[in-house]
Amino acid sequence: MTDSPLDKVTMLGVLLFGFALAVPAFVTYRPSRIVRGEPLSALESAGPAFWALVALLLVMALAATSRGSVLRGMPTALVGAVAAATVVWVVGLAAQGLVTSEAPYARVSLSAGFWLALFGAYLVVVGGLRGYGGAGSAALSVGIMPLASVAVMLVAGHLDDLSIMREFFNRRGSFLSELSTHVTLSFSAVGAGTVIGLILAFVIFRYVATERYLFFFVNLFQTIPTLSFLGLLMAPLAFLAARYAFLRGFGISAIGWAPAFIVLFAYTLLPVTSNALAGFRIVEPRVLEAARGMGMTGNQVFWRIQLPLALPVIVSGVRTALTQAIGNTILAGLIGGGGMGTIIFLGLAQAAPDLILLGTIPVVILALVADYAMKGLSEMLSRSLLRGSQ
Amino acid sequence: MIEVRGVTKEYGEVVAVRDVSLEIGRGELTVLIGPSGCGKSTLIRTINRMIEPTEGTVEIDGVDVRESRVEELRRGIGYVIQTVGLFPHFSVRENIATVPRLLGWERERTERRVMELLDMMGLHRSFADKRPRELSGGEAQRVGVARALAADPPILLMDEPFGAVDPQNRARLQEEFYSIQKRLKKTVVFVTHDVEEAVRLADRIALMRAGRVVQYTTPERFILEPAEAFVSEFLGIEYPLRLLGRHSVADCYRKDAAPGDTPGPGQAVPMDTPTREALSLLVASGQKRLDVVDSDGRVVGTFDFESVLGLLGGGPGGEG
Ligand SMILES: Nc1ncnc2c1ncn2[C@@H]1O[C@H](COP(=O)(O)OP(=O)(O)OP(=O)(O)O)[C@@H](O)[C@H]1O
Ligand SMILES: [Mg+2]
Repeated sequence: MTDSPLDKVTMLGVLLFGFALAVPAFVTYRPSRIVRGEPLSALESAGPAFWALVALLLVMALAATSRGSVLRGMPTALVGAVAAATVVWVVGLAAQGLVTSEAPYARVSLSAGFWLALFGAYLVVVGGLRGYGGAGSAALSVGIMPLASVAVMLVAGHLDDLSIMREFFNRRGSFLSELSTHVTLSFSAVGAGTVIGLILAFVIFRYVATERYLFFFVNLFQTIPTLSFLGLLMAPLAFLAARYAFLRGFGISAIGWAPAFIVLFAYTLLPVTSNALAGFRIVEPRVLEAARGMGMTGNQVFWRIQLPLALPVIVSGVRTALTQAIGNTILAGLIGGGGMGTIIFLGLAQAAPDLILLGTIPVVILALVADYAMKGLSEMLSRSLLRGSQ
Repeated sequence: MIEVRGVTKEYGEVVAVRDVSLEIGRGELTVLIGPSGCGKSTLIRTINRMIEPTEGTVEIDGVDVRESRVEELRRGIGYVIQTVGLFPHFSVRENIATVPRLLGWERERTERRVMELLDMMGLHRSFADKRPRELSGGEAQRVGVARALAADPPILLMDEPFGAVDPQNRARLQEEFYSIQKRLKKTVVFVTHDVEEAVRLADRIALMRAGRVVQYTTPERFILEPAEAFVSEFLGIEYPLRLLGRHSVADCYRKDAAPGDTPGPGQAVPMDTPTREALSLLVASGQKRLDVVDSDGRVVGTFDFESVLGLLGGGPGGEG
């Protein structure tokens, strides 16, 4: 990758970015929330700040095509990160310019051009990091930089005139509580699934005969589509809740958090169980022979040798489960289980794209952060287990 | 003392070990040798019950190994496995400290012991914090041996402990282990399929073939009384010469010098010359005899072909 004169990913990013500046719909302008919108290009909406984007485009193009090593790699990634942050800044400026005291109810929504520009900048970052030669803390800081800039803009109120922020202010209270429900629901389901998945893996590992039966169930859950799964749970949960008062006391019923939790929990089982089992099994026979030969009991062999050696693999299974669960939790919104799905489905019902976005963006960020954190944890574990002192 | 009585191990149709009986004396190093697949590993592993025999018993100091709890038995027996098998997530220190930790030793005592063993194995103390990945093959083998010795068990089972190192390092490890063993006087059962290694280390050798022990005796007696043709065949034509490596001139020269003799015109050999080298010198000198001199250069006797024959013909049983 490093020695090819042109990095294809970076090039594609630059092209997309340039294209985005030219498309007619950078943002959509509506005099009020319910009126049909009118597309505005970057030049039309942003005014002079448009030229900042053009300048960044030129720098990125230079970086992508230069043969010299100075602009390859890290600098390219940095320019891409700056471009991403600038795109958001420019769209904030555009909104401020369009929502004036004469038109206080005007709405400025993010349009195709904005997203393309953002995606283009992202590709430049990715391409630059590839040229730089991998991840690490430097890559992490390049990734965090635009996110942090956006956070600053949010706090400073720079983006307040965007329609999506209007939606946020209109339901700030419910947004925060749905977000916390979303996090609680997905993390607790994955937590419970991890515990049970580990126990299942342990049982299968110890009693190989159970593998077929247990994996049958674990796999079965995975094959049921999420929505059908929720539907399937309705009848039994309604029955149980009607039959046993204490279950109702816990808030268990055919709709609400309970079926969502069960589905999310069940989906966690396969990645965790199969990874843990693989982890237990990759421990080399000679290491086990030595452990037993030194006089460790079966339990000691498990806790001191097998579990620690399997830990990185287990964590990567939990990572899969968690990323998947954070996305799937959206469906809880369909059955009154709360979470960001509530906002998204409301947005769908009202045909309000900004509301849909308001529900989606946090989910995407949450999933990315969880994924990155778990990946880091898994790598850190395997590094510290196998190399490095202490 | 380890007593193996009529041990048989069957895996379905395969008979890995067939009716083997051995008595292994306290403080002796017994080598199990034989072609690949002849049952050496299987036999050695019945001693610490890594394998339960289909038939027969193993006793240690008159007590059947099945009478103690299996983990306790194993903690009292050092075990070096064929493939080293260090714990990859433990540091060298933690690897060596495995059994002391299982036995609940205090931290300080364990740490002292780890350092002592690193010294004994000729490993720098800074190795304590390394991980197995960072070790060479020879270093890993040493750590494997140190781990087996950690709790100072009276018995040591070593299954091709130096199998995974190159010949040079191997010879060094053998020498080092030999001198350690001379000091510690463990009861050692040592598996190898390398005749040279067996001759270097063994007090007694059990030669195995297809699950049976063909012959079990001192290295010297294998020449005098081979039990069957396979013995000489397996040990090889150079076996007698290898055997000479176990002795020095001091073990076999003829004390026929009168006090005050000075070396003749021919070559003289110092007493501590290995017999194998002395024989080589004798052949090279083109003479029938060499003067043997002590450390002060005084002649003390004669070294000739008859000295060599005396040695192989059931002379003193090893230098140790
Ligand atoms: N678990 C097992 N199941 C079936 N057969 C086995 C098993 N373990 C060993 N054997 C067989 O028993 C015989 C003896 O094996 P063993 O490992 O004791 O040989 P060895 O003398 O140690 O060989 P090597 O020098 O190659 O290590 C071999 O034929 C082997 O295939
Ligand atoms: Mg073997």
